[in-house]
Amino acid sequence: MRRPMEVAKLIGLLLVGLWVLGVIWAGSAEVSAAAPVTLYTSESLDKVNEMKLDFEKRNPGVALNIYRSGTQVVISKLQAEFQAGGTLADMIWMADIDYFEDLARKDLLAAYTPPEADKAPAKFKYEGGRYHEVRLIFNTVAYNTLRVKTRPSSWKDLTDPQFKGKVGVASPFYSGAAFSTLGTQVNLPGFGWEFYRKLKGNAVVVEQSNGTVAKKLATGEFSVVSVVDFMVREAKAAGSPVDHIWPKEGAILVPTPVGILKGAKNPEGARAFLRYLYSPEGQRLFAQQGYVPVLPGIEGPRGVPSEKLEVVLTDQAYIGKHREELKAKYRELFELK
Amino acid sequence: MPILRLLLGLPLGLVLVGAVAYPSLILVWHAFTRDGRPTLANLAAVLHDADIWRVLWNSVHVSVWATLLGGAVGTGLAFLVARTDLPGQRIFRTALMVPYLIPPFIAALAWLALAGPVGFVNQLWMAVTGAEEPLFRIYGARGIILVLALAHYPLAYFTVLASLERMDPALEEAARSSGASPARTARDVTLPLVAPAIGAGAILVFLRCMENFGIPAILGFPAKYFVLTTKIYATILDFDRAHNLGLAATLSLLLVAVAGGVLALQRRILGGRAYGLTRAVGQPPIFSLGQWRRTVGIAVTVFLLATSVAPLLAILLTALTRAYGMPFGWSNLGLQNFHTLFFKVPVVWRAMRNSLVLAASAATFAVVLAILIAYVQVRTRVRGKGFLEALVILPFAVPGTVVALAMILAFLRPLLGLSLYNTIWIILVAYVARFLTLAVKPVAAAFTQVHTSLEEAARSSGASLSRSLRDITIPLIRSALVSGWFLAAVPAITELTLSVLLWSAGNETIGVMVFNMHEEGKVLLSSALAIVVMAVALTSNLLLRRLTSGLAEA
Repeated sequence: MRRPMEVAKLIGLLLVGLWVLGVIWAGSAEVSAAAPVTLYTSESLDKVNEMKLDFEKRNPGVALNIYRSGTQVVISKLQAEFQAGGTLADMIWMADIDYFEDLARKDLLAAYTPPEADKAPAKFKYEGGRYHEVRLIFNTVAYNTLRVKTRPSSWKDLTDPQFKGKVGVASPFYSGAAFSTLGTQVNLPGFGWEFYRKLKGNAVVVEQSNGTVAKKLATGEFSVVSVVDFMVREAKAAGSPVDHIWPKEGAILVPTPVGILKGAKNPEGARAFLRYLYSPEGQRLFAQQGYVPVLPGIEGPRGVPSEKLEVVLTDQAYIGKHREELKAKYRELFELK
Repeated sequence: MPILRLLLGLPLGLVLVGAVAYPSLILVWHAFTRDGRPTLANLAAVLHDADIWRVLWNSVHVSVWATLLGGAVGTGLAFLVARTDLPGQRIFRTALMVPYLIPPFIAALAWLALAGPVGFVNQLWMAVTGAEEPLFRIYGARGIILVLALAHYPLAYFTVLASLERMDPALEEAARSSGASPARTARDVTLPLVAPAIGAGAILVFLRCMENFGIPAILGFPAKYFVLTTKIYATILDFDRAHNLGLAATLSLLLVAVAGGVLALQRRILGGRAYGLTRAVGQPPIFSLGQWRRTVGIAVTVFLLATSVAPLLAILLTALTRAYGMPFGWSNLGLQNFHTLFFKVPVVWRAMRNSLVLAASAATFAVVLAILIAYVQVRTRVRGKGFLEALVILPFAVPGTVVALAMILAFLRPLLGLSLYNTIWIILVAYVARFLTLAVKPVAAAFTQVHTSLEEAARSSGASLSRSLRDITIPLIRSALVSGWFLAAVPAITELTLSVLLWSAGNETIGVMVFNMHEEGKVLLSSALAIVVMAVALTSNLLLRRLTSGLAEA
């Protein structure tokens, strides 16, 4: 039995030591890498982290710090920080191209176009390189292979009465992808609000996010859905009973741009990350993760049809002008609060 | 001497003013101003919003039902364990600890895995009956009530159990020997005696339900069902809305007012009814369950299996699932989600490190402050002691969501040249404020047990105040310091409510990671991480119990 004094000292020392260690440890992240590149994004958590590991391996000395949440939450945080006098973010990357337009108008985005980016189609470089489409996401039609016997071929299959009550879509109020799809389709010949009225007649279920739609498609709660393509390929690769088609009217491109903010604390590091995203390595990792690369000559992900694919570009001009009207009409039609 | 007083008083004052008083005032200020000018516009906006009244009603509705349900279950179990010949009592006593040790938001995720729209129960139901609709809808009020009640009934159970075990057995014996039947004794003697404890337990459950964020967030958002805490969270994040922070501050005061009102009501009703319960001498009489003994034993076992074991098993199986949506079977099980978590998502490691460092730092600060506070409380007669006590208790007494909002409002802009927002420090400050009272309790109790004569002897032999503290007092209260440290650290490790509003790039906690993965729809990954969090929570709690009981004996 040791004397109580010694025990007390030992415990005291331990506590103080632990605390000092902890503070050093907690501080070390900021100290070791002078200024990390801070990215605010709505990208898939596991995918963007995989990308971070690869980027840091190829760019020793540059650390990428990620704040990842839903598009709306990320924008809220940015807004709060702008109001309070400055954001921590060096770069932003999310599914709300309107917000990028807005920031560009306020001259808050720095233009930068990596050399490799010129190989990509010019339409994916926005506002003189203030923001970029670094890989392509499409909204498509997907189905549960255990529930659906004949493979669908068109957007119109979502209104097929045999799937009544088993059709799911994401809410345009939460999902940037769903909003782009809505704004593009209501102005597309053969679709319009009539298509959405028919969807409603087919008892469509409006879920919050694409993730939930994909999840419920896998479990068979839904038979056919409108959802972003990579989630379906990912679930299929993991063994879930799902597949997506390439609708004959065309899949809808969902813009998810990346841009560098003016006043970035580590602009050089931010540019390095953008260069990495456009590099063959970055593009190949995208393909591996199930995204369609933006650079020509990089082999696409498994499961993307190999024939020439019909693509509908998002009708950005129409969406920009009719944003509130679109939301109000949708809200009214689907009786959402 | 005065310098020492100052040295002791300064950090204490700095922390209590900076981390508690100032943020509280700022919160109230924001509720009653717009653009720096005093106004009642926020209050008017809140009171005229039918939506807010519905949210307030939702909060009260789910909390009352969860309290009735949880209170009844907790009280019933306490009575069965303490006063009847229920078989397998020792196992039940240990098993009833489990729901208490699991963080509520993890419990919500576990219930989702078991009874969610595509959880195991509904899948089985639809497979067996061929039904197209799930048996049970867990999203919305009913699911929230169920999980709130099951996550909090141990509070009622512990309170009533303690009261039953302290009760003077002679009272019940007297009733029995005067010819009263067991049932009559229970009704006329036992029940009235433990009534204050039942009430206290119920109030505790009610307050915890009112302030809970994780359960209504996970089970309410998909059904667009909001309670006050989740509404405040959504309002803080809704920067498109003008004056959103002011409105959130006003909502916070509303929430505090409801909780405070319930506490005041409790004081009024139960205030004068503390019966002289002495420490039990000898064994109290046991109510024989007779022929029902086995049935009741089986019923309690089934209850525990269904409410504690089944959800945990469900989330474990989900975490081990390879492909979502494929039929259940051995070929669809594997460790790949854990592999992804640990080797492909580096942020998980950082979040774990952050949580552990935050918990250890907050606990260390809290213990150091606790020594000063306990010293002032027990040993001095300075004026304003009551105020000091109030400042210490306040951040734990109000809901965590309110504390987080106060921190955001206080530190969003740099204060005195120090910028805390978007750093790990704002979380640390919030944790120290929130968990301080947990460390103060055991330390203050230990101080009262150290007689002043010991210190006086040291002082009169020429030792300075700091010397007498160091050489006499602290060694004597060291076990209280250690248990205070753990009491503050353990809840901080798996904390969600504060950090979900205060985290920033690089400063995420493990609770935030689970919550965000769940929000993103990453069911398999969030389940796997929830299992990790649960393992950490159970281990740290076991450590806490081992250490505190070991030190108490020493």
